[in-house]
Amino acid sequence: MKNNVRNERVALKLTQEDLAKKIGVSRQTINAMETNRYIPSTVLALKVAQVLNKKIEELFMLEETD
Amino acid sequence: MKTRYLFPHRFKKLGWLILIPSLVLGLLLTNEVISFPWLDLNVFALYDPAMLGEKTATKEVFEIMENNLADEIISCLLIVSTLLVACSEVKEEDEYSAKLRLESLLWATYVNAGILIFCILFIYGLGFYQVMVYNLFTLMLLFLMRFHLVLYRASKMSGNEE
Repeated sequence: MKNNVRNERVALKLTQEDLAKKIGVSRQTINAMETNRYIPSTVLALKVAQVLNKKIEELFMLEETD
Repeated sequence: MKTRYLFPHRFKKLGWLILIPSLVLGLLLTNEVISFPWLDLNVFALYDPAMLGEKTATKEVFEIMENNLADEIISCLLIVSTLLVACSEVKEEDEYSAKLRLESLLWATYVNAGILIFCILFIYGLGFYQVMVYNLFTLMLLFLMRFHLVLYRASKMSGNEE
């Protein structure tokens, strides 16, 4: 799973802290999500998509496998 | 994130306040550096078979016996305090911290099992009894070390990324 959370967050000029506050998680969670150390649940992914004003499939996508 | 089986965050501090002195006292007591002779009291025992080398107890079940309560008190304090520290919410409890908690618990279980197998194979006699006493607490202590280490690493990492 890869994601565009960092790009979209930066585009909206939000810090990790801002985004974390808006969706009610810790900054560590946003960081782990952006660096692909953590794949969020569907509920959290939907919250992120809502705050970043994107469709969930625009933010999170499966990596192509051989 | 609301979790059904975690204590509120404020219990973590209380847990640490009890855990650290209990751990120090427990280590000093098991290594016979300190003793509490004033805690020699009559207690009710459900079952008290004679230990190796001891005279046979007159009665093994449902008896009143004299015992030093220091190890019982410290053991209970250690169990309660490790539970309070391990099972209290972190400041910002969310699904990522829940994942770190679960992974740390699994890691601690595997490491504890590994240590136990090693001790079963290589430690005998009274030494093994001592291992079993320490083993009462090692799972939770390993979990606490690992969980707080990964939380610390996560906070460091997010600090660097900002």
